Amino acid sequence: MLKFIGKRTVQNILVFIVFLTATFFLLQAQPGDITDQFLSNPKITPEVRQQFAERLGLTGTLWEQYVRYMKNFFTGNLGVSFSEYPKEVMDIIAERLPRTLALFLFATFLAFIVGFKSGKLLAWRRGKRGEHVITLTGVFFQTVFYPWFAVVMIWIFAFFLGWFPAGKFLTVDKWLTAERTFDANAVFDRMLLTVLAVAVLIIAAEIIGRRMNSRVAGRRFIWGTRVLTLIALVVWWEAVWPEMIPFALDIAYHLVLPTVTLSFVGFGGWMLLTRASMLETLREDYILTARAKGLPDKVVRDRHAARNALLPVTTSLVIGLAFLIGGGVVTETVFSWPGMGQTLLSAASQQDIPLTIGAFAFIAVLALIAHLVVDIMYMYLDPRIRVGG
Amino acid sequence: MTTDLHQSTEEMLAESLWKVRLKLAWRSFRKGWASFVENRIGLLGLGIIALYGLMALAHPILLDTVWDPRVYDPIIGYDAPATIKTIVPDGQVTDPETQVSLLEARLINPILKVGETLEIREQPASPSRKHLLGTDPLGRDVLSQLMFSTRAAFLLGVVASLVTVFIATTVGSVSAFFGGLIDTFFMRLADLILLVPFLPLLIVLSALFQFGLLHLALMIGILGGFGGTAIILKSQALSISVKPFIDAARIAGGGKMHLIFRHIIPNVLPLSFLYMMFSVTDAISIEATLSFLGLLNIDMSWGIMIYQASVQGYLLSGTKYWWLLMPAGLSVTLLAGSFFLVGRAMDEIINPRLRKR
Amino acid sequence: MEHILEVNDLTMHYTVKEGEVMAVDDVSFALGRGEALGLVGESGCGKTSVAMSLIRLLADNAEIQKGSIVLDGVDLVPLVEEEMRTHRWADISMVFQGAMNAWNPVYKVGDQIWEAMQTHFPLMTESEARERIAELFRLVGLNPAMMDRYPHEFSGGMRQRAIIAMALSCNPKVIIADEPTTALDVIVQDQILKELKKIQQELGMSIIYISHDVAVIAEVSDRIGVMYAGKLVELGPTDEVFPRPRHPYAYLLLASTPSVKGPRRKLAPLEGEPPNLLHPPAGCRFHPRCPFATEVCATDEPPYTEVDEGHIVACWNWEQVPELGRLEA
Ligand SMILES: Nc1ncnc2c1ncn2[C@@H]1O[C@H](COP(=O)(O)OP(=O)(O)OP(=O)(O)O)[C@@H](O)[C@H]1O
Ligand code: SF4
Ligand SMILES: [Mg+2]
Repeated sequence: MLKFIGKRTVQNILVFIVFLTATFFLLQAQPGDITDQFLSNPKITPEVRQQFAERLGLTGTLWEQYVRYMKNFFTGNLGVSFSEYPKEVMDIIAERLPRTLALFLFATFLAFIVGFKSGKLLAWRRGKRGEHVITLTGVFFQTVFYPWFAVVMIWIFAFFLGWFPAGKFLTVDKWLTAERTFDANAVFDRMLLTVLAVAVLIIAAEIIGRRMNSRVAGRRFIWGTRVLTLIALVVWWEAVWPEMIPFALDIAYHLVLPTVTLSFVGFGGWMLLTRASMLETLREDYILTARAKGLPDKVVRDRHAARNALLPVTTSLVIGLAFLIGGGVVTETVFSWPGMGQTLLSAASQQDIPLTIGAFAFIAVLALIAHLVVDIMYMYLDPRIRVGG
Repeated sequence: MTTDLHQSTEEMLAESLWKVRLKLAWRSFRKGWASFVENRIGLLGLGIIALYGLMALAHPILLDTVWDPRVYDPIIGYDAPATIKTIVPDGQVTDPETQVSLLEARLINPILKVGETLEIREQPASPSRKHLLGTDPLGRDVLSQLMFSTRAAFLLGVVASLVTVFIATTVGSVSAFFGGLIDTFFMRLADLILLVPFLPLLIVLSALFQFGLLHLALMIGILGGFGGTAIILKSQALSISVKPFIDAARIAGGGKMHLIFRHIIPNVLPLSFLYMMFSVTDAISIEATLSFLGLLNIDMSWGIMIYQASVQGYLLSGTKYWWLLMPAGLSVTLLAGSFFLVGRAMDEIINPRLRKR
Repeated sequence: MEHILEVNDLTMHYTVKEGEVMAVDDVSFALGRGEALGLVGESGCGKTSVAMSLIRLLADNAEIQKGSIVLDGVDLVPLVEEEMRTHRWADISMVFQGAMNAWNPVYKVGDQIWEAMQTHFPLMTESEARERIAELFRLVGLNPAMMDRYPHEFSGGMRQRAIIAMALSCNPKVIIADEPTTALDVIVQDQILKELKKIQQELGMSIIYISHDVAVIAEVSDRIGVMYAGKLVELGPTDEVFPRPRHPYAYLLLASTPSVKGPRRKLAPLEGEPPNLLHPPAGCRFHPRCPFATEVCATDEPPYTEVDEGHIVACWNWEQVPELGRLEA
């Protein structure tokens, strides 16, 4: 198992190197000298430009340039942003990556859970009325023109119903008028860490609980951990960061609508896929065995059919993730969510090459890690790969 | 099924190969069409595609006949219905159709006084008999833009999907047939492309180069063709290249190229055609998204229509200016979705695994 | 002999777009306690349909039209799904046709057996269950340690043995074995059949064997029923039916099978294709293929005749059927 993970990690690093190489040659092939592009900006002196050219490795022979470019990348030396001069690209990314991560993780989670559950239930009631409506709904969410859909969501939920803010990361007034000793990034990073800690605890409990010999004790352990984790979360924030709570809630409130909107991108595809996969699974002989054993319908559906239907869905998760990453860029733009996607886009449209490349590289890393996680998840789910085989 | 095959073998003796092929193709097309018609959803998709096809065809004809290009040209046309309103003191507007308050009037021209008249040009204008879907912020007819963009969408979709399928079919067949190093290379390449986040990559590329519609179509086609579609078509080609008739053809002395082009590729084509539908869907949504983000160098498209509305500040204007966003957004959704529906319906016919008993 | 299972006039149809597939038509038989009954017939004659009707695991488009299935005094046909569920496995269990794929690949074999026991004996503790599974594994010739393995770690024969262990796990009154060994290679097939037979006799189990393979049925069953196109055409003790089948179809079927017991017989071909059960032939369903057919066969359905004690046949001309081995010409 560790060998498998190691192999995949090495593979992904190789892929990343190929990425960077390709980007390097694209930069070379680009018409004109990129350092000329900000000639009109008086803040950027010729020295800065020279420095930038060196950092990106644009001086010397092609090979020298390439080596320097790669070295800079792996030492985190991505240069200075032009459009947000004189901020370091690395600093900009460090600030915005967590926000994108949060949006992406929550939306993926939501889309997957809802898509999988609804696909499962819809397959179970196959042959009943509404088959066409379901397919059309799924296809609609899968192929809807997403930026437009996001705008419509804002219309409905922010303007028409007024339930959520129309965009942005936080309520500016609230933050400006309040006395505080911390900035938004500090609050947000703590929120993200909390969520990750909770997720790790719950997943660990799930794994340990399933390994327990007695199923009843296992279930008790899993639920106990869930409840305790939630209590610990509340207690921790009340005790350690009480002054941050209202601000954290403000950010969370701003996060809801973009997350839900983005999750729709993945939802349709996953629902259709789960339904198809589940219908296929229901034809398997072991489903017949399970029913012949006199197991209740719910057990046959969840423990036998859905559990196996999950395998092909996990394999195709990769495609859904690509959708979600693309959708994330659009979501950030439409909702003015200051994350990597918005940064990439504004950098690209202002020809801020260092920032564009840096943001893209990190989005690519995000995608690679997501794929790695999916691979590991698949291995965990399928004993034929996990055990021997 | 089996009787069909027997029959065709006999015919093959009598007729030349291409004739038989054509006949077989026609026969399987008719059979496929029959099941396609049964699948209501696929038919719905086809209907919507046909509708948009008609719109694309009708546009130049309309411009030649009933539509005055000065008014209706999608890019340089201009028309802003003017109404003449009398200025009344603030708070005394009784009939907003003919009166305007001093405050509002002074926003347009600060030297105006009560009692004077003001010509107000409605721009964007709401739908009227003259402009069924209203006009955009630059006074251009939205319906005309919508129809004009249909052509761009089809052009882009067809070019991108043809390129995709051409590359994927060739790569898939060649990899399956030769195996070895060639196969490994193309499959690793496909994995690599699958791993790259597609939209961000196109954003980066459009920052480096200026993209027009055709460039974009080629880009999408190349990335799609060397990517996932190649993997799928390769596995199809692989399942064909182990069939006995390939061995037979090989023994009969067929050269490699002959085998690939005459035997493997024709058998992969139905699946290629299916994936063409899906790549049209992708191409249309990607173009619209990139246009929406303002990254493309295109005169007019559905994405551009929404982009312009957003640049002029109408993006979040609620339902008041619905005609600026709804027709274009719905069109992208409908056309992309329809190709997807047709692809799904074809998938059920071509992939027997999914076919109902 | 006391009957554990009585099937009367069982009729089951599948509804398809073109009409009704009459897969099981007026089938009646009884199974004694501790008895092994074999059902034999060509592919598609409705054997699996009978089995699935008995355990009431029918496809969505299937419906039991009439008849009763009385298991130890309880008629299963009118039961609602929830009641039927409590009878499955606890009272009537099954070894499936596609047993190779009968295991869920993601759970351990032992857990899948335990799951059945847990459903029907909720009070059983885990250690009791493990002990029981170990005992069953030994009975079917498997190493008890294998219960903590996944199905993909089992060979085909081992999976099948484990399936048999699972079928025994809840002490059912009746076991149905539908093609229990078809997917296995001949040697393993033989071993497993012998063991199954041994277990059946040791435990005094009542079992219904289903197979298209006459040799298999001959080896393991006390009585044999021959099915043709959804109908039971002959039923009698194996010792009687085998040497002297009375129904023309049974006759041709046995004649075309290399003999299991006794000398090798000359192969007589069974011509034609089995009928389409959507529109089965009128009268005797076998008449288009029957070398003994007379006029009446095409119009009237043959009644059951008791040709010997406990040996019944549905044929107008059963007396014309010669002894096996006489059809040399
Ligand atoms: N779900 C279904 N819908 C319609 N027809 C069906 C269905 N299942 C089975 N049939 C038909 O019913 C008939 C009996 O099928 P069944 O599976 O009982 O035969 P069998 O004797 O078990 O055959 P085999 O030896 O191949 O297993 C066949 O003609 C089959 O085509
Ligand atoms: S009834 Fe007639 S057709 Fe049927 S088996 Fe007997 S002889 Fe043949
Ligand atoms: Mg069967």
